[in-house]
Amino acid sequence: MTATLQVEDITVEFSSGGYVIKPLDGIGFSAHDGELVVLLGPSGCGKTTMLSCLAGLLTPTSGRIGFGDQDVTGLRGPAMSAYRQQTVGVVFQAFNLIPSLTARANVVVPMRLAGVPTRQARARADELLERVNLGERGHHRPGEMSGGQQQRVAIARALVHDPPLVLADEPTAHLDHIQVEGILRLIRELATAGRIVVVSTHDDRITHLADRVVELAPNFTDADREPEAVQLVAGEVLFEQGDRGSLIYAVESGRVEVYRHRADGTEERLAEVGPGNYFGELGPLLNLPRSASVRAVEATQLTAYSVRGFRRAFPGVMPGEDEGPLVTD
Amino acid sequence: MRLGVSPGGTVYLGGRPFTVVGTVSDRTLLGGTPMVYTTLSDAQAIAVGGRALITAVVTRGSPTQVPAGLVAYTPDQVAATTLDQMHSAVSSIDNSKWMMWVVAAFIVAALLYVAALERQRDFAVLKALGSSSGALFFSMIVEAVVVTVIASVLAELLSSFMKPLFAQPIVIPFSAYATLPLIAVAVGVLASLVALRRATGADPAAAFG
Repeated sequence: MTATLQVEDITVEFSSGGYVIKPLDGIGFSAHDGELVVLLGPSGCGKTTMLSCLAGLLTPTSGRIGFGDQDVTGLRGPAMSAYRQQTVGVVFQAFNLIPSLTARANVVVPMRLAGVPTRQARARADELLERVNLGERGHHRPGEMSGGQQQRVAIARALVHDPPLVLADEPTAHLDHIQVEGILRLIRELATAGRIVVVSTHDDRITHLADRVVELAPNFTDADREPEAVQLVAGEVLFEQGDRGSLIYAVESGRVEVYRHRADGTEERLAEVGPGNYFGELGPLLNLPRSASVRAVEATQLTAYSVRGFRRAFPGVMPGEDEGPLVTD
Repeated sequence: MRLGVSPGGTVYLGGRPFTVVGTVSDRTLLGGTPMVYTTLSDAQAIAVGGRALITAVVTRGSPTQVPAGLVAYTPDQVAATTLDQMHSAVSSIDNSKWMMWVVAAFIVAALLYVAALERQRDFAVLKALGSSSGALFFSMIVEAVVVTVIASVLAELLSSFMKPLFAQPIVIPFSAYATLPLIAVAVGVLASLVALRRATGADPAAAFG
């Protein structure tokens, strides 16, 4: 089977704490057979949410995921279970091995639960543990193994059904640099003909191994551009909660209101910002989506700054590279 | 020997010494009181101060006439009349038995529930790896069956060891050894339903957390 992955305009929206959260907003990418794809971005940018969608564990609010000739987002019930079991292998950040079972048993369990006969499952487990260089450690429990070895067992477990799509969520997050090297080499080796490997990470060093890098949250902190004037008419929305933006705004004249969309469809007004004040600095600085929407209360004139431009225009308001922590709201 | 005597030994009844000439087994009254067979005169001497009194007459065949003041009972009626005095004790033991089944069900339910709770993440991981809710359901049922079968086998072994420690003769019918594990499994499976719900309800997306 030739693996191809098509992710089209995926949006995931849910409510949390009464607010609408949109961890993924119109994300799309594709990958071809034998490729290693890296989903890159900081914590909270939706990497795990994307992996959950690819694994068939989460149904996106909109968009489509296609793998081979399967419309993953359209699968339901037994077809989805079969997809999870036969098509996808998952490697978790925290290994998620069952501590009371040996390495071999951890690899055997998913096969037994899938109805594979015991003898066949054990033989397959031994073969996979051999492949991840843990042939001699099959009788050890996770607590007796290093983080790297546990992750190798988790990789072996993900491969039990020889899945054409392997997903790894921050697979090196809990490992030291020596263990990282071994795991990355193994993951790179998995991306061969007949298989696509998708790895989520916040560590951009991994991108050098990737055939394709998908940045889920572009880095705006180094962006620089000249300040520009922005005119808003009364009621005009500047940006929406969940949008990603690179600009920080200072109010020159007029007023804007900052509000949040609640899950019940209502709005919660947070603040009104007038001349001499600024807003929208945390999103660009921390690579986070906008946490609130902004709309003009009346005709308003703003100046839009990049992060660097804002630092120059408002020295001392926001910490520079050698300054203290951020102390603004 | 419930009385701890053997032929040739001496036993004291009503303060008088008697020489044991033979022993019988499985002859007790009121759930364990040993029975002693003596001559009529000795019995009268012990029980009614030597007076010529009797409380029962045993006959072969059915008497056609019963003297005034006596009532004729068949052997079954005698047994029923004697056991009637045990009714309250038997009923208490039966009530204890049902209560212990309920307690056992609660213990099995609690054991499996805690086990399921502790392994909630494992269930999520296994579901994320493609295991169906049905497969997890079945694995928990197997666990409940194993726990209850082991418990009932242990209970049967323990009862065998403890039987001689009781003053009363204990008789465990063979059928009880067969039915106990079956009832235990049924109770265990029913008790584990709450845990099963936990196991099968695990959200596979939680495995990423």
